[in-house]
Amino acid sequence: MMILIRQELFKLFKKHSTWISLIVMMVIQIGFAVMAKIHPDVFNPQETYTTGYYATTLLVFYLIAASSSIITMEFQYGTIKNLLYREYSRGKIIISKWITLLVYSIAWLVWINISSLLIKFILFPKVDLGANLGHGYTVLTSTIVVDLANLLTVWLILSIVILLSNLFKNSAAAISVGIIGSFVTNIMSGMSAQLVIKWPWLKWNPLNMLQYPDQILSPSEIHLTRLTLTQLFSGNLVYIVLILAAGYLVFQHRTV
Amino acid sequence: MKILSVSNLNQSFGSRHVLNDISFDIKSGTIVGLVGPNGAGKSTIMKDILGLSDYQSGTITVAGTNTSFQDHRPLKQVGALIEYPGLYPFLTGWDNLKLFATSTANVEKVVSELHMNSYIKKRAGHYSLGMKQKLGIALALVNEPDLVILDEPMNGLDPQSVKDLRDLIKQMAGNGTTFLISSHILSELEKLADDLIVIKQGRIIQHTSMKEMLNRDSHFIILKTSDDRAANSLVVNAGYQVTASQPLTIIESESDEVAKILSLLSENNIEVIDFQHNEGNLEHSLLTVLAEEKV
Ligand SMILES: Nc1ncnc2c1ncn2[C@@H]1O[C@H](COP(=O)(O)OP(=O)(O)O)[C@@H](O)[C@H]1O
Ligand SMILES: [Mg+2]
Repeated sequence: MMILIRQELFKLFKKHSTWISLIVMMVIQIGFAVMAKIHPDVFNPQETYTTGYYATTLLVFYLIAASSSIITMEFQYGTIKNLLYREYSRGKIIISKWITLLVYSIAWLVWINISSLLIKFILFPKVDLGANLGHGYTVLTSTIVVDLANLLTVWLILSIVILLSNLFKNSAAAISVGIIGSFVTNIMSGMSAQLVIKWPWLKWNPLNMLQYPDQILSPSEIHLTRLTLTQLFSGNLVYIVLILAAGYLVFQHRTV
Repeated sequence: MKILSVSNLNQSFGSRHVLNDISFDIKSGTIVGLVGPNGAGKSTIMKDILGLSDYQSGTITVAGTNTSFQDHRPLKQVGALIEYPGLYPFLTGWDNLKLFATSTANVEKVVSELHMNSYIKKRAGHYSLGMKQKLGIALALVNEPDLVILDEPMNGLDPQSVKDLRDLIKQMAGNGTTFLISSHILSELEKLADDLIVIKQGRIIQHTSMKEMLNRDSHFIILKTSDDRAANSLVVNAGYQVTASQPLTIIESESDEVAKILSLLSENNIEVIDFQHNEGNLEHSLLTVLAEEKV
């Protein structure tokens, strides 16, 4: 299994697109940081810090792209044959891909936090990381907690993307569908709040789970979601496990 | 020892029966050719062995252990190239190999054996068709597997590469590696394979040694003489079967016939100017076998 994960990381590491995404992200972070420096009234320096200078928004797209291509790519290039005919079972192969994506998402989050801290210290010495944001969080801790909560809800989306990517044999198509899907999801999750008000039992629908990070900093959202933070957390986990399991079963039966 | 054993393999895609009771064994260290018309089921048999495709019934054993679609641990010692080479275009040839190789020494070895040094550090996406094909073959051979399955390996290779590959396969087979090779290039298979499995519409219609297969083909003696017309009537009168008079072509049914015919001609003062002996030819025997067999 370690060998498979190492192979997956090696491929990600050697892809041009990985390094291009890193450069694009840095350009965007620096761009927003400079804007916040020049127009602090438009781009609040403290808020831009908590969003990683907009890197966290970009990260969602990066992770969707990586998740949709990690399986699709193998079918597109015919390399799935080389992966599958060796001694490893299909189960091990798909699990190694999940773990790789998890490592990849965590590595990005760590990088975003480090780079944001650097930018803050260089450009915004006046932003106070220890400032109290209420509900027991400071600027620094709220950023970290919300990043981790976002990681959880992003994985709910990624598990769906991985499941759906089994339908495609071309990475570009899978990535487009994944990204368009995430926009649609965002729009629908707004509608979801209205539906939950009408039919309370709908509060368990997966779209409602996506509100988890928001509710951490604004506990009053409980009136919209009708779920406690613990319920939202567990709901996300359960959905992720179920959807990944469905993807696992589909992959078990894929032929070449 | 049998390294590969396939028995009663049946496979359908929907209502289409593609493999019918395929059974064969392969002895360790032999080179076995798998031949048959397009769509006969060669790639499908190979995919079933490799756990890439699922079949309805049958048993496949590699080195004495059962292997299946779900559990193919016995394939640890197997290398394969199926249909077209699977390569990551964003990796160099070297990195493509390194990804699956158990050691750098193995990569170096296969790269030099297949003479790929000049381009191995370039990205595989920029390779020509033949270079990709060679890299695909190198991927199948890189960890010195016990069993190598190659589907149309000569596709797109230049004559020098074909010869390099042939030499390498023979050398590896000499050291005990077993090969199952499908190929359309019959002249190449003829130089390479010890045994032949002929399939047609998903059934094995022939499993013999190459020698036997070639012996099925008629052998001919083609003569050019000082007087072809006189020679013709002479051999016909002596009871030989002549299939053409210009050039004079005689079917050889027994091995000592050449000597007899030559002395017959010289006794009658007919001078032999040129002489050709046509050995059995795989293409001809194969087409005969395929045509005879009604599926
Ligand atoms: N995935 C598939 N779905 C449906 N039919 C298939 C599939 N793969 C192969 N076939 C059919 O199975 C038959 C055998 O194909 P194949 O094994 O590729 O032939 P060969 O390699 O001998 O040319 C062909 O008729 C082909 O159309
Ligand atoms: Mg084929």
